[in-house]
Amino acid sequence: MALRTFITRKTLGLVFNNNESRNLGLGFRHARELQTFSLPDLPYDYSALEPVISGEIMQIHHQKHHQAYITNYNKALEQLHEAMEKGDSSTVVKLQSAIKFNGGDAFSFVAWNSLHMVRILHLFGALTTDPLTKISILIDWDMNSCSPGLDNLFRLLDGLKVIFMALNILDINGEQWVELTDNYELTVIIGVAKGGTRHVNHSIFWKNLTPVREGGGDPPTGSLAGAIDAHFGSFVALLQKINAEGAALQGSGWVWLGLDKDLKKLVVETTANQDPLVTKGSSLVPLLGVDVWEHAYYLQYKNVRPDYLKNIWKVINWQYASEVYEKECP
Amino acid sequence: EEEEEEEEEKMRLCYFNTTPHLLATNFSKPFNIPRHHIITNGQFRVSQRGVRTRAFYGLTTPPYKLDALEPYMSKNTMEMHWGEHHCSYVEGLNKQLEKNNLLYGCTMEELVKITYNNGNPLPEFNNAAQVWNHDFFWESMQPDGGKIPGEGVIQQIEKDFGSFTNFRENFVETALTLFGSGWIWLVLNSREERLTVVKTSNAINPLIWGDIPIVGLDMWEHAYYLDYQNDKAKYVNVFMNHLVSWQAAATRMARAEAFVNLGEPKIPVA
Repeated sequence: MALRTFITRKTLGLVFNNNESRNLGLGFRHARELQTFSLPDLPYDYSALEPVISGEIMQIHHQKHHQAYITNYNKALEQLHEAMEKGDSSTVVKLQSAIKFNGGDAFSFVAWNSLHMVRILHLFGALTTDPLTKISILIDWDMNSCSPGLDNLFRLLDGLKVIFMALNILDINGEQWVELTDNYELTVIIGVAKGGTRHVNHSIFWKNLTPVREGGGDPPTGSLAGAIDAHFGSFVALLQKINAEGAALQGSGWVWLGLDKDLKKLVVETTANQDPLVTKGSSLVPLLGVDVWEHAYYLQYKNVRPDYLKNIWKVINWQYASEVYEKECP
Repeated sequence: EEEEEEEEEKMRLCYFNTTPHLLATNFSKPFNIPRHHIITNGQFRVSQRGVRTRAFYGLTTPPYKLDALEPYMSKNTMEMHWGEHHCSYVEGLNKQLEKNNLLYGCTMEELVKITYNNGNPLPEFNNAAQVWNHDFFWESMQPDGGKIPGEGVIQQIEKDFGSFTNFRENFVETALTLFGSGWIWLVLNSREERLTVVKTSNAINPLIWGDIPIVGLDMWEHAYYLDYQNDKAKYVNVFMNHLVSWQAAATRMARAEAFVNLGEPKIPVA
């Protein structure tokens, strides 16, 4: 697996190995208008989800937490926009084209980081079937260290690409992604990816909820209902599974009902902190996300997360989940 | 009748005082795991003693009353944080130990390190570490706390951070850049023989690296949400200004010097 990734990267590395490559004529260097985001309105009043979720929680969650995420997202986008406007500078790391392959002999690769978010130390090794040795990559994605391996660097880049495309803020394809990571600081890119997913998670969450009088809590009908029965046995079994996984999650995170759009399969997954569902599988599409960060329930449910999970089903918007499902599985 | 018994049981769990931690830690290196604690796949036969033990570890009480930290940390928060969160970690740990009492008999510190299992944490780690973390947290605070550290701490802080102000800025910034649940520590790094500020996720604490924590701050949302909601900056500043116990820190530093050489070695002249 690692070897295959290597070969792919090698091909790309050869193509984009020189200075001219930066202006690929893809129109990419001419940065689009800086797109910023603003806090989306809730489609219901803050108190509309009571008594399941108090108005106080809804207001703070929306106006403070989500707003803060959006503010930081916009900052990250500005940074990326600036970097793209300014163009390449000599201090910017050329990640992928900097990896030179010398017929399988040892090579070295040194990168620089500005925000201690990516520190790629050095790697020595032979491009043979043997795994690379002495690779040290420390990646601070919300402080989770990556275990050593060049594989992980590419996995990070792959993961970032998936996230970037899921965010849909730049209409980029494969080659453009290489150019992007080739020319602009990885830290800036990570900043955008993080900021975006934090915002998008909450945007999905507000749509996942709806007042009882608007159909909140009404079980799904149509093809999604059939799929749930097929994959989990019954609707109740699904809810129990989500509740169990949500309650067991340590610290902060989300519990998702997702659809693998390639395999046409429903899955229940959890992610830590604000990691998007795609980090559990690049073909996963979120149908429902339940925020189990303490700020989502603490003022009302205190430490009894299981009660929050039990009750939230009364205001879940299965209509929205069905719509997303039917779009992917017509 | 049963309810009363349950209530009594809970009271017993809650008010069972263990040895104060400030002096209980053994940081001698290398850390040797007693042989009988090494977990293998084999079957262990543990002799069943007559009395079935109900509680292995107890819930330590904070060294002050629950309303003593008002108005900076409300009694409400203390009742929830200690009485519910901390207590449920202890109960959870005890339940796990009922099934696997190989781990019984360790100090909390040993238990944390053993269950961390060098990066492949055992299921008991989360509860064990959070019990230790919260024990440490109550001791890291005191009524009328904050201000500046005294003898024994201030010199080391000035040596390793330049000035107390630098340290304070560093601490606050680290706290505000922690994303998700976790803890902030002023810790004595045993290998570098200096104080540093570190942030850790979820239940992780610096014991697992063999370092010596001096002060700990809980940055899980439950620690501040009732009092400050999402205003983390206010909470951290209040902790620094009014809550942190530099007395406790001084005791820990004094003890740490038995394990880490912080000064110049005194080489006797022949």
